[in-house]
Amino acid sequence: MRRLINVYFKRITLLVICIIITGGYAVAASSPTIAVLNFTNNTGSKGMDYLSTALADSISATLSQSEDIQVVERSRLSSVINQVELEQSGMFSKTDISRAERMTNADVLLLGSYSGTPSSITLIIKAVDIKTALVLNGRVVTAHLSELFDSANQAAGIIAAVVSTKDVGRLTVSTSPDECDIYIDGMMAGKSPLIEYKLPAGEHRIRAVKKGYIDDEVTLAIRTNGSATWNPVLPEKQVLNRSEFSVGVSALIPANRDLTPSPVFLAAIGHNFDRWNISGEIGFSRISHDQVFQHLGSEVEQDRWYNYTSLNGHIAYILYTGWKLVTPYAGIFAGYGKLVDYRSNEAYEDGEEKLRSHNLLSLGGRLGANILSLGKFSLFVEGRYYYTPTLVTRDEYQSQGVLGGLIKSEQEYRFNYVTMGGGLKYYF
Amino acid sequence: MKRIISVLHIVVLLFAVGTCMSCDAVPEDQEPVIFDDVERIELDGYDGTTFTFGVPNEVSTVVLGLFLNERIQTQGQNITNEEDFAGGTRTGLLDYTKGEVNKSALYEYDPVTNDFDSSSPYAPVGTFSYWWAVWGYDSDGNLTHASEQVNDNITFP
Repeated sequence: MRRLINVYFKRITLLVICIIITGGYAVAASSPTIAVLNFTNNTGSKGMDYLSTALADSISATLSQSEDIQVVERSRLSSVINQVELEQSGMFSKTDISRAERMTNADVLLLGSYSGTPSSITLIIKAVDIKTALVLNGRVVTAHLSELFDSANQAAGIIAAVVSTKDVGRLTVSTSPDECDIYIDGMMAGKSPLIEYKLPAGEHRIRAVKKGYIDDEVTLAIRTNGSATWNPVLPEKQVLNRSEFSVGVSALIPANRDLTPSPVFLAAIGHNFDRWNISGEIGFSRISHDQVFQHLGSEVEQDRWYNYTSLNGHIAYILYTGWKLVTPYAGIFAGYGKLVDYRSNEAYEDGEEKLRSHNLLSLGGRLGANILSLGKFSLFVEGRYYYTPTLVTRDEYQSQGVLGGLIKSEQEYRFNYVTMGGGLKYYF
Repeated sequence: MKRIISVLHIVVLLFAVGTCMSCDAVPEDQEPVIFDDVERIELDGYDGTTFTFGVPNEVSTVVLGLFLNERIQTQGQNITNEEDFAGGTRTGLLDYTKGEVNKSALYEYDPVTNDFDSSSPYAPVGTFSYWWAVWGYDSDGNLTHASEQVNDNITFP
């Protein structure tokens, strides 16, 4: 019996050892081994040779933290680097690759080159299948020297993720306009259009950037063996140095309640200096201020109106440029206005009598937004407050029955008002 | 000397001709209308029963006013001798007809309302001397038209 127990114990121990061994092998088999070779210096500057090994060491150290891959110790690669001059030529042959395979026991070689200047270094990283010499994946990183290591590590991490997993999907990005910089998870992936770009399955943050346009960003879920597309239309930024012509109409709402809210028509020409806008504007409004009084047994509504012509100079500042559909701005203005008072009177040849004329200084502030910007056109909405320091005299009329004409009395008020409206801008 | 006199004769003659040619521009003498800055209403007169006058279409309210014994005195577009305003009629009152007003359709002037009292027909007994005129307002209440003033003896009833 004891013998039987010993036999079973030995068999179980053997089985456990086999499971451990085969299990470990299975883990090792599912995790590819990556060897990071030195990068080729194409900058033409010997002073930047140190990046060749420094970048490779940094990437190697970063990748070694991943549980999904195994990284060949860099010290073991020195013989490969010496014997196979991959890093110098940037080229590789099947012979070189198979020699590297024998010497490193790696599945994938990570290699590449860098060029440019310290202010803008472009790093090309490729993952090469060591058995087939095929490029499995690649990334191009452009960054300042101070940010190069972070970007390189991030790019290498994505490459390793793509290489190490079968859960890969594809992303296609097409933008309007073309040639936007496309960032994936914060790293430059290339210029649009980006076609069938391999990414590990999962959620990725995609960002399209182009100078003169407002950035666009989206988070997309990439499914295993799936394809995702993103076709953003980037609106133009309103902060360019360019001129503009605008026409608009607003509702003029006077503070004096004897005056009726009326439309005011505006035309302006100006120029944008980055976020500052300077413009000149002409405006016209016919403001009704009819007067009602009793006259000889009936109620008379006397047609009265102001013809108001204004010339204003504006300074405005674009408050925020990050929104796609709305670009808010605020500004101040000052100008001259001519306010001419009329009333209808059949005793005059054209049926209207000119009563008074005022020359007014006006000051004010405005708050508005350009909206739905499309190409050279955009709409805008705007609200303003006008303050007039000078008092305006308005004649009021009363009937004196059959004893003659209307009696006139004077009333003084300040011609302050609010306008709210919008219009169309053309940029040139 | 004779030559100088001849030249002077020619100058005087030319001046006289020039003056005569400009005679057309001198208006015929007309009594002025009673208010300033208004257009003229032509009066046809009073025939013993009816006051007749021509009113342009743009006049929406017409007033016929009678002043007892005194001329109508005005300053600008205001009557200054309200105390002499005896009676009259206007558009909107009973029996007023445009351009033709019968003396039986007149009302007393009410100084409180500065209007005619539609409940008090003007019906004195006897013959009196009146200065009368017609004036008119447009639809906005502006005084736009007026006539000259004329004097007539009017017998009531």
